[in-house]
Amino acid sequence: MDLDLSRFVWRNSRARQLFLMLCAVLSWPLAYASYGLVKLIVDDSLLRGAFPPGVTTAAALKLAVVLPPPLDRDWTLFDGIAQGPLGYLLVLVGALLVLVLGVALLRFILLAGKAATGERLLTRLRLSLADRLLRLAPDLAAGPQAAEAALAIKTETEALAPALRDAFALPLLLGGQAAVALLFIVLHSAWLGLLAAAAVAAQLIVVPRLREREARLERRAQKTARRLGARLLRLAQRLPLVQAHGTGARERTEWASQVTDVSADARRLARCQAGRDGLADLLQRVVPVLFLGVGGVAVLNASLSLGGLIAALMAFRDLPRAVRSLVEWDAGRPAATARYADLLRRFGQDRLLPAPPARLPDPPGEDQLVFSRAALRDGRGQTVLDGIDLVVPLPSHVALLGPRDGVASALARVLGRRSRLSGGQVRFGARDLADLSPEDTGRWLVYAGSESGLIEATLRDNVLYGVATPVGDDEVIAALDAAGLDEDVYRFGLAGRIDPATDTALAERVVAARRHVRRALDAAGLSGAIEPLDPLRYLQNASIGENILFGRPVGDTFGIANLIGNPFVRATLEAEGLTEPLVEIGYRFAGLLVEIFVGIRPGDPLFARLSAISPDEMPRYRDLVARWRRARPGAEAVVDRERLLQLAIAYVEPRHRLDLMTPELQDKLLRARATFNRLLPASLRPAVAFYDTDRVCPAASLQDNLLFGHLVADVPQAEERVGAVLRQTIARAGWARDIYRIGLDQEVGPETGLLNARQSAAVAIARCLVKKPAILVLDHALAAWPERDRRAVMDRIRQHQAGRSLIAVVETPEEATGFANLSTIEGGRLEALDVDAARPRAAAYGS
Amino acid sequence: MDLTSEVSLLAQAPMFREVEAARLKLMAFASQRLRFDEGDVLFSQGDEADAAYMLVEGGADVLVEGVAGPLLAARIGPGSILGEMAVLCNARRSATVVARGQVVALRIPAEVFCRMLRENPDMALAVMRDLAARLERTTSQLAGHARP
Repeated sequence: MDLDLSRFVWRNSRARQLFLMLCAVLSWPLAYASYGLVKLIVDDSLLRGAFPPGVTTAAALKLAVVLPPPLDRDWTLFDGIAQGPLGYLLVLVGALLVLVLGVALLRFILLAGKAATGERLLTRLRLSLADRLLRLAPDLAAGPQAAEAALAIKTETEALAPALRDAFALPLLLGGQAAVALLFIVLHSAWLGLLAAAAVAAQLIVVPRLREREARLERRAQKTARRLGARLLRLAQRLPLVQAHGTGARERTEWASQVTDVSADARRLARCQAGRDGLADLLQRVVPVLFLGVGGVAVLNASLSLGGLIAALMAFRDLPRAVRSLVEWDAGRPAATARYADLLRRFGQDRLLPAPPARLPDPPGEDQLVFSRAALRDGRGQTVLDGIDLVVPLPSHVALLGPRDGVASALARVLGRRSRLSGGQVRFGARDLADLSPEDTGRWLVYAGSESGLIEATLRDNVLYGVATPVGDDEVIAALDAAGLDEDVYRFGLAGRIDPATDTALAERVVAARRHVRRALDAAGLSGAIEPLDPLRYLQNASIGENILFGRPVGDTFGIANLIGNPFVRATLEAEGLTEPLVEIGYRFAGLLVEIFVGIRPGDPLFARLSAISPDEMPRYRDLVARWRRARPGAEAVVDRERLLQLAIAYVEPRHRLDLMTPELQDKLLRARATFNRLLPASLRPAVAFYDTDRVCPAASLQDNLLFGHLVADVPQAEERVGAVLRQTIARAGWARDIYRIGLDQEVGPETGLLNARQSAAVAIARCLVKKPAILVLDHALAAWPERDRRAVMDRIRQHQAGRSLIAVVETPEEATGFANLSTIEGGRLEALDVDAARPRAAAYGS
Repeated sequence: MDLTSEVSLLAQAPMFREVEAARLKLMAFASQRLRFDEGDVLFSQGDEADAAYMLVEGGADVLVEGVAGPLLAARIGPGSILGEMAVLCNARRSATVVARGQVVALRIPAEVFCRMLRENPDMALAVMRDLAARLERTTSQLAGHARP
């Protein structure tokens, strides 16, 4: 990548830049000709230069090339259009209009084109920087530099946008504009030319200086403002002291001097800015007056025509502004160049991995892994590996004992490409590890450390991240099972949803299985643990809202937050005479919640777990409860009733236990349920998935669909016991695999917060296992498991990796129990440890 | 039996006597009311302690594993708090509790119980006093056994 900004722009947009520059260059003769036309209009038409006495027609726009005296030749290019005085004027003015429009059009093309080109360049720059980010050296990739560099790709490139846009065409346009105007003036009067050049020179000298001073003042003003802010804060902090010692007057004096300093700086800055703007303005106004003087003399002694003077004045009009813009463009350049160079330095070759070599079709032989004179230094230059020689015959399962930042771990990191050797080499079969592309090592030599790294995707896609070949769900499940995540996948599966439209067969089986589940629960003595979804009975263990709906909301229309606001629901409640009783329930419920949540912090977990009122709603409910009994009808009362109804529909008698449900109320609610179902308009039907014994409820979880009832609140350990029965039934029916498959659809990205450290680590291990790599390197990969569970997980991983190699760096000998041998690295050599002899030491760890 | 009566039952227990009514209500609200049948086990000796219990209705037998099988250590009735010591010490259950007849119990999750202790020094003191009394009782029982 080019280290120079202009070169980067030129190389990546040569054709476009040339086109834009062509536009700029084309505008020059047009501008020049427009000045010439002004002169003609005055001299030939208005002053009748083309119509001496007796002449009535003259050729307008006659174009001829006239060579000066020594050659004395001329060619007529265009004979012109013969016109009377009025026609002559109109033709010239028309031509002038065309020229001016032409210049404007070219400017427009150039400005629009440079903006588009700038954007393309910005995209190009970001893409190539992102490419470099992906190749950032491993020691940097793990550190804060990577995040900083990633951020810089956005912010720094944004700041570079103007420089990318204006690299070539703009200076050419501005410079050309100024040069053409100056040239026209000089060719018509040397004196006027001198005057215009002096005005340009004044700008070239003064404007950059003013800018420099301005930048200095700006920096100083920022610094002072920060200091002032800090002082103000300190002053506020010592206010008690000031008041106690009566030092107000003293503080005031000090403060006043500071403020004066700041305002003096601000004044200077404003003066500078005004000066810069003013200079261009001044030149534009004063120089024309001088033009009139100097040019007027020339006109009087006939060395300049009046038209020439007026045209020169018009040309000068364009001069100062163009020069000013040019100077400013020039002043911004060094900063942009420096910023660009600095940005590239973040992604310098020394910080990147070498460009990846070509991929290999097959693993490069698997007979052994050889470290020869492998040396490694850490970020601070400390020696970590000092010329290690090591041969690992393949395939084999090797356990290395060592702490997390020890020698064995360093070896593992080298294999996993987290560290680059500073000397020596590692050979994998016939190949140097450094010669393998990351894609190849990603397939054959896979590393899992103690960090996890989830991506925003489903569990399945997380496991298959980086897997090139198609892999079936069975293999994904097997890998997750080996990593000890099978329970969780199963749980996700039961919590997952099935779509009867796409998963017809499974949906039918689920409906059929409801009966089996019920029978199994009865057999286990758990018939009382589930309250079946009976359309004709009030569901004690469901909320009032769910009892009315007798189904699950699909979308927001009947969601818990919108239920009460829905006119149809309100009409149903009103029709069954439920509004008043429910308002009363809401009031009693609100009263309890307001009372017991007094003094509980909004962030307290109790809120999330227990309160039907969110912390930010709590004050409103508190006021409501206080005023409710003496409320007058009115707008406020209407809102209050709504709030109370909102709360009432969340009420579940056995959970909240306020003894508010009477048989009459339950009957009314059952009638409301029937009315709701019967009268629900067709347009609203898709918004509810009604419970139906013969159909799957797509808005409910798989587990809810199988149980087809609610857990009864007062049955001890209902969830665990029912869960176990459900599991057996599913296993007997032989569709555990379906459950796992649905579980794999679960979104588990870091933002969901669904997986804890152990589960995330298990996903990372499964991601390695599913590739069936020739060598799997585990570097304290089980750190997130409790020590007592690690051995079992390691055994399962070993089974999955049977016939292939495993190099596991472990923290305790206990984890390595199943391995044939356990080694440690002492003085750069592999020392075999007796697993059995090492184990008593494990007991000392307190496992 | 509703929340209010559970709260008034809780308030009668010595350890909760000094606790504000609103806080007791919060504790009851955060608890689960469970129903046990004759012979159902509330918890078993050696289990991890994840909750304390208060008997709301019915009685229970407290059994301790002895050399010759389970020994009846105590019979308790409504209003009794049980299992709180294991919660307090983060220890395993020291006895098995079995329902005698129909039992309704309030299961107070360990984190809720501990939170109450943290927020109410008087309750902590009462629990300490109770603990000390039990220790003394056990000591004197041991002394009684030791004497021939």
